[in-house]
Amino acid sequence: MKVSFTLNGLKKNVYTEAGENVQSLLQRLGIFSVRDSDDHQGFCGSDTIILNGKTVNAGLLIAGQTDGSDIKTIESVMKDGKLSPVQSALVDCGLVQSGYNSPAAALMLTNLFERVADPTKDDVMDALSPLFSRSAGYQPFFKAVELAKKRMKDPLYKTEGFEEFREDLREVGKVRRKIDGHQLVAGQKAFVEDMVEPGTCILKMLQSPYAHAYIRSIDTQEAEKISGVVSIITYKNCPDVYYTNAGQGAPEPSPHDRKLFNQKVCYVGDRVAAVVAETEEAADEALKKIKVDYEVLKPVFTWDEAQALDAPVIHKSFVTYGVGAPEDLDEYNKNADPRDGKIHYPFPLRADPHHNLAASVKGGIGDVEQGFKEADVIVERTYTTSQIQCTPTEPHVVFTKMQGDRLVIHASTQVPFHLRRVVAKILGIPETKVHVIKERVGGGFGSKQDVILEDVAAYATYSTGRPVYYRYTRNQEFNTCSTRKPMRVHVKIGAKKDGTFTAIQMDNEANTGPFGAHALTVPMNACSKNLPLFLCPNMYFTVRIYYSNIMPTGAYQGYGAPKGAFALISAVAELAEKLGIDQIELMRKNMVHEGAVLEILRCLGEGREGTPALVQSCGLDKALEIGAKMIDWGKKEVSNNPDIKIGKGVSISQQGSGLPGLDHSNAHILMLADGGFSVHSGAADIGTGLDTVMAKVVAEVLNVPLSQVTVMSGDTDHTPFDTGAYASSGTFFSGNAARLAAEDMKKKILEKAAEYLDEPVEDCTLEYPAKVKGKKGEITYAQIAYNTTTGHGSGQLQGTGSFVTENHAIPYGANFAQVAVNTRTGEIEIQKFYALLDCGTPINPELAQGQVFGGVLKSIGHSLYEGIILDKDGTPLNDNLQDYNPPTIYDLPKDFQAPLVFTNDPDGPYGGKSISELATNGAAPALAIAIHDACGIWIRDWPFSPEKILKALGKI
Amino acid sequence: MITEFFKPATIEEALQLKSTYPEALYMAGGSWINSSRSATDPEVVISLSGLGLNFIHQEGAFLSIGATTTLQDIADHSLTPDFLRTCLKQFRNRNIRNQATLAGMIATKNPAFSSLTALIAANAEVETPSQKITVEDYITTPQDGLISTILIPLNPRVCARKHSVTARGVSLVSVAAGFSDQGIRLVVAQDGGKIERLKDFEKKFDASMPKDRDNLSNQIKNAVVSFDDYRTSGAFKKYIAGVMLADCLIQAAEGV
Repeated sequence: MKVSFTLNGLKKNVYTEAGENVQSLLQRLGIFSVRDSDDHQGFCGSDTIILNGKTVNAGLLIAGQTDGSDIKTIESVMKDGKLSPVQSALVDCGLVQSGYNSPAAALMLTNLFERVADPTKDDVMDALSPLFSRSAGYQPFFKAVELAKKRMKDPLYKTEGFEEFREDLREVGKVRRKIDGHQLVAGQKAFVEDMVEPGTCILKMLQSPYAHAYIRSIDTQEAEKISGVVSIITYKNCPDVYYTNAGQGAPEPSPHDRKLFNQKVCYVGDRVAAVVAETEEAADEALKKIKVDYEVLKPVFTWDEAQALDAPVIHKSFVTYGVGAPEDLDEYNKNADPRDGKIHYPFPLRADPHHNLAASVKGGIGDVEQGFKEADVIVERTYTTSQIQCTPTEPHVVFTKMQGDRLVIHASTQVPFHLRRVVAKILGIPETKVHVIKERVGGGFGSKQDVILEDVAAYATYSTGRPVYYRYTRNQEFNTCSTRKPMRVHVKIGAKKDGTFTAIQMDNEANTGPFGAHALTVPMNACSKNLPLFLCPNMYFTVRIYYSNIMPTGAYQGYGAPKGAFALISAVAELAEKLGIDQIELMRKNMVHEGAVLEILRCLGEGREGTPALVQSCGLDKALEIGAKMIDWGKKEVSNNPDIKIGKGVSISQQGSGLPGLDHSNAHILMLADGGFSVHSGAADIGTGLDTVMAKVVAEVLNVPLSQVTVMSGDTDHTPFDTGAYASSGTFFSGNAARLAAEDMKKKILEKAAEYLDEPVEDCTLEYPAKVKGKKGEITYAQIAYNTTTGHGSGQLQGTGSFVTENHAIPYGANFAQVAVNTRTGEIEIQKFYALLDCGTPINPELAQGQVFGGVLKSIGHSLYEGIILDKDGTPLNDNLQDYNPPTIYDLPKDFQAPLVFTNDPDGPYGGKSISELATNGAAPALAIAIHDACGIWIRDWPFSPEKILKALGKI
Repeated sequence: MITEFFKPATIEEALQLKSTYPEALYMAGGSWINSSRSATDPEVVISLSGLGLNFIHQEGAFLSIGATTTLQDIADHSLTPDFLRTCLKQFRNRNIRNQATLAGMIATKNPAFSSLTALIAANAEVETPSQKITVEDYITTPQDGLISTILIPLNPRVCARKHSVTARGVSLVSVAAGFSDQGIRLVVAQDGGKIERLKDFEKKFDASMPKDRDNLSNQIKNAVVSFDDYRTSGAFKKYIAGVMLADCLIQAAEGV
């Protein structure tokens, strides 16, 4: 049918199917800013448009409904390519992070201002109610609205309301516009889906209906006959290469326990066959025609089932080792079933896959048995956590194509270089034949650290020569993606009557699901990111990770740290109660401080021997002091409603800044013709502002304005190696590599300037902006650039930097919560939440604060609402966002603050440490402790639902 | 996939189309039909948007709401009773409310739409081309006629509540209590279950209101039939329905 409408002021006549989805239609018309995050269910708001003056979801409209209408998208609000006051305010308040639905947010607020000149907080919440924002936790929107209002009167009104740091520096620690902010909030081409070329094939996956089964036979003949079907890939015709999809440095501390397709399916949703077709319809038809005969096996879903003596075995595989094979390996392999394939361990992980043990580790310092003997009081408790979905607003997506004999992968990834390595290995080709281009990433949160779908798309393209596009539906995000591993943590703490800890033991069990991606490292973080919070002479830990038939697990922001923090800090609070000592006093008596040496890290090296760490900066004490004052710690609050009981809780937490001894970052800087600089870094900015961190650091070192620095990152052809964006490594590792490259450039500028000025190098200094001053004269960078690149020049100036370290720059934090528990309904209201985090020098203060709000709100979601639930056969029941229940703007704490606690770490770039993962660690224990303070009950498993509260209170 | 989209100009024309295409669905806002969540997959839809049914006005003691009037327009209207305004504003988000309609909600008969319990408690009515019936009858009997208008009493004593995991999450349990000259109406809806009035309980408590809140909620709890699902136990749903409905009953009785 023909429909006519006005699109951003222009009349459009479109021939379409009546039922064509309007979000798809707009994309077809070149409007990239209107995106789909939720399979057209109206949860995320990424598809927001203004239809006849009102915001609606384009994904919930069909073409027939648009006839005669007026449609506006974000493209309508920009004038002469400039950001509107709303758009610029969103960027400047740190809200445009992953940016996938930032244009939608801008459109919602633009519409708000059209309706209400001076919006209240309730108006803002109502306007943004259609938005799902995981990155910045909503809170900064209130500030952005105030800023936008002022900029409508004065377009040059400066950003205000953010604390800035380091008066001695010009760019670092200051609020500056994120360098990709304009592109993202304007809805310009930025993401993988925007790069797909005409004629690209679609990849669709036939997924297993069973949690545990052998494929007895698979027949694709009928499917292959369908017109438009290009290829069908199954376990029979895929490469016989085993790998891990964990994007970790090689050799990975994860078992290589999967091929592209396996004869055994290990979860509901597991890969059975990939159809590559020229149209979606052909792919769908082919999926229906593939005949599969399964031998269904008994599944295993929990750690208890997995370790039972007669448990079904998930991987009865033939085992090999890179190094350190056990002597009885031949005997062990006699039990292998060829249909289960192989497992290769690059090095031993203390695994026993024939008993479902994917990995294990134990270790400690001192003598815990003796420590417990010396204790006057001992607390011993068990805590459990659920399987959590990362929920990036941009689902997993990849576009692959051939360029001559080279494979090009447009990826939404946190690890472009690991991705290149893994794909090259699977295809059996050199890395020179693979080019990974990391596009802007619409949310990763750990799940894009893993090679989730790039492997199969890459093989499809390489084996057919055809460009291939593979994008997960939201449903697939829930049933075949990477999730937070469920864990059970048993904590035992002993202390003297005066509160001195004598021993701490943590025994951890984790459920890794069908594959062992991050099997060792994620659960280990429950210990390595929590035990070092306390200076106890006797500590011991065990970690055992089991295979099962739940959906795959992997990395998620914080790794295992949030789960360990929930257990350890809650147990410390229980101990404080038992001792009759205030919890803050007890923590202060035992906690880490500047100058301490963390011996426990010697045995927590993530697959290698660790090293003790000297704590060179620690803002814990300051965070506790400020937070206690903010929340009036110690004062009992009483509600007028007798059903409502109010309580307060506090937690301390830490994270890391990358993995010393394992991570590695490089940067390369070129001086441009006008004296500006182009930074090339392998780092992967996944929306956190890492590119801006590097630009600021370089600008600071080289004494130029930020506008004189551009950054290219995450492209394996054009940037040097970087391990990638995980383990909170960005600022510390990639930022330091950029600093070192800038210092190398500085040295070369000074040498060249000295030569041109005919003065000793020692007499020359860099002067702002962009010049070198000697004792006799001065020369601009532009003049140096010109001189070095003429026909007689000595060559373009280039600086390089490579950063590795054994030093830890540990970020710390304290979280305070005040909750009101309705003892009649079990409902919990978070009245106050204060996250006081020490990220050293906050290089991007507004972005750092946004990440704190985002991380805390995620953690609140995990603590109170979220968790994937399977039926008895292993099928996820809440496999969409609406039933999964992540928090929205209406779930914000009533009073939500995140003051940044300044420290200056000597190893960080200009004192900077990491921030984002740290923010996810503290909410669960703070809330659990506050609930106990309110009504006397301890909830020791996620989520803290009203039903659990009522049960604990004896109401049901 | 919808292949035929009709936009009739009169109700008669709409009815004629429906008789020609019996499998066709009437579409008011389309937010449910077009959602992948609805699991509906019609080939033909008959849009109501050309029928002139976008209105809200007073009609005697009722508020008359046209079938294509959006939830947001209803929530924003000065005449809308507070109980309904509150329910609507708690529904999903502004984008959905700008598209969805009360008529569409009623037509889905979905117990997860908490406004339906409130409409039944208020003894609201719907007009179809052939009859005027209560919302309760429309929902609880096999009706699928074209809803042209919803009639809501202007000054009802109605109080409604819902329980959801997050503030704007799916309503797992919703309840409403209404007082009118005809007596009290107590309604409970459970997602995955049904919307029903507690008629036996209404008869029992019509004459004399108990003063004890906990005793009242306990008795309501015992009157509610529930079931376990993956999110909550039946025991929890019975309990929370009892608590919420007791509160509603007391508030409505007090005329709040």
